Amino acid sequence: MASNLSLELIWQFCVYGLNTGAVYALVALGFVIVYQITGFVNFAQGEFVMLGAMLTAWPTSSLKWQIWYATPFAIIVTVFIGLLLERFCIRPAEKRNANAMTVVVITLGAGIAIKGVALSLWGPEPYSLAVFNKGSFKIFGAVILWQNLWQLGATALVGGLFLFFFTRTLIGRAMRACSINRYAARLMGISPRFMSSVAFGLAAAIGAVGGIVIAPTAGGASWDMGTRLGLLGFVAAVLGGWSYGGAVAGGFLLGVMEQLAIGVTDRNWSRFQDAFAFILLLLVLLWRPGGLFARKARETSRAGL
Amino acid sequence: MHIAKWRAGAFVIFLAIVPFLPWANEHRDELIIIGLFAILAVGLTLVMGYAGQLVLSQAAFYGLGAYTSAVLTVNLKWPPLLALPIGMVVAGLIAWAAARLLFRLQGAALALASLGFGIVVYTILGQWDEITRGQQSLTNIPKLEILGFVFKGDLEYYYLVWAVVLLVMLLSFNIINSRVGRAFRALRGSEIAASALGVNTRAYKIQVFVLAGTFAGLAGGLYAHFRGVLSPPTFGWPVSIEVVVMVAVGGVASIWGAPFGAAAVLLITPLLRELFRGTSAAASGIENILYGLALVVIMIFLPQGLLTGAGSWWSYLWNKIRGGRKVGGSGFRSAAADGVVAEAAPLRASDEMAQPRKD
Repeated sequence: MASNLSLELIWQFCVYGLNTGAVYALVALGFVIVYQITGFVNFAQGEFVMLGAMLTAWPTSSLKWQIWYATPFAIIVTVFIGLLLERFCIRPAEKRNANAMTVVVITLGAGIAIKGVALSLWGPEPYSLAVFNKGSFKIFGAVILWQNLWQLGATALVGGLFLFFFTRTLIGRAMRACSINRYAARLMGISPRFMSSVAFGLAAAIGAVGGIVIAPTAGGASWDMGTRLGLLGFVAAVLGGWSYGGAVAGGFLLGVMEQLAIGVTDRNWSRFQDAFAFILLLLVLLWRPGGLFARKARETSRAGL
Repeated sequence: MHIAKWRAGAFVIFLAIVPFLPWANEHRDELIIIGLFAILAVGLTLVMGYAGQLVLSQAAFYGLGAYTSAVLTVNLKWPPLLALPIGMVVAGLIAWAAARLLFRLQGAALALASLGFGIVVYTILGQWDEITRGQQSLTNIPKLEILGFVFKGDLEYYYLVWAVVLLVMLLSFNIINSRVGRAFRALRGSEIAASALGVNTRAYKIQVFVLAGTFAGLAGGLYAHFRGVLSPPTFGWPVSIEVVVMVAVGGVASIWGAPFGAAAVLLITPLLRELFRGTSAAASGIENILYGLALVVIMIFLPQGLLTGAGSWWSYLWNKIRGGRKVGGSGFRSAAADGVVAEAAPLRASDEMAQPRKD
């Protein structure tokens, strides 16, 4: 334990944690929506994050685009790639009744290919992305960058839109029906195929938003940034028990615990920091195998992973 | 069993002459690495293909075996022949402890928790400098010596490693053709049904996981005494995923597929490198693209892996040539090599319920 640890410092680490946690939450939501609708874990989710960040950082720094039209451009292109992934990788496998492990390898392969595209197009060096608003302010002594507010705001906005989408719109309700029972939903005239396209499109959009807001404070956008963020988003999704609210809570929890663990430990322990998130995950799963916010076990469409 | 014996004999002869073939005689250390990964993949095939559990922690046990054996020989000056089995035992014991905790979980949570376990082990191996010398890498690991015979050259080591691969495969064949193996297959078909029939699913899952961990520990020890140098990234979590890819490419429920999957995955990169001849970012990006696309295409069109898939095409063609009727429906699903479960069985009974359509 570091001796000069004040309450103020802990509060500062909590604030840092909430910021990174906001992005983990966004990535986790992308995992959850695909899993809920299709029953598959999309290992390429992290690459959507990378694409969002890269497609904003590259045109703004190389083509001198303005951020306000680079951002929608990045989101639209990422959504398009998400739809392509669903159409040409997931759907053919589904048609052949592929099992969940096969789909895991397919999404892994697609993720590697997307990374390869990014590496050959943009090279190994990271592209920096300027913060949207410069400067910072203080809340109870903790420094908050304006960029951090963008991160928190993006998560709040996406969360709100999700709530609206899934409870108030026809297509959102159809998706929920689909995630409860594909077969019954089909009998009611809902097309699970279309819903799975929508799920991948939404997951790509959310991932892209996450990438765009984190890039300025994470040292820019680089071709391999998706791996780590994807992994931590996956952890947050599992922590939350694969529900939308749980994923958000899991993301924040993961971010705060990670920052606190790094903050309060000295060099002797902090060198093991890469393992902290996973030790937390293992402890939580041993305590509650279904995740922190798991409701009663329920058969989802293809829940065998 | 005729065909099986014939095939095994052909495989052994093939292995014996491979190191003298034109390209291979200059790449013997790659052949050794393929053998080590074949051991990892055979273990994971038992866990994934037969017990039906997706775990992503093979690299951790590979690393534990390697580091245990290396630390014992370097720091405590034990003879390698004694340290190697200790490494296996340590990997197996830790696998047992991990399995007792991990197999409370299922599906995606199990996959991620095992990956997390692998990351924790990797971080400890990499950062615990006092023992493993972490980032500076552990050097001067002695060569393996059996009864005064030192395995110095690549050729001797190649034969040693592949002999171990054959032993591990033989052991695995014996297991899956025994009562335990039938329990595994029941487990894969449907865990609920298996446990209803009196199979203690948890105990079997733990046993097969420990076996796979022990195999991995053995491979790790062999690696340590082959390379003479250990550095942590050799055992990072991407390696675990690579082993899963090998198993999937070789055929998830095929022990024969494991060495082929290992060879296919490990040879594709040098092959692509020969094709593109370049170390620029663009070239390695294109390598990644082709590797990823190859995985996607193989998994979509040959979901039972290259070997089983090729086998079923072959038997389909053979039947065409002889004018016989087609075996099975599409040619994809007709493979029936002995000892190989060929159907793409769904992971759970509910899978079929949820997907009755074919439109």
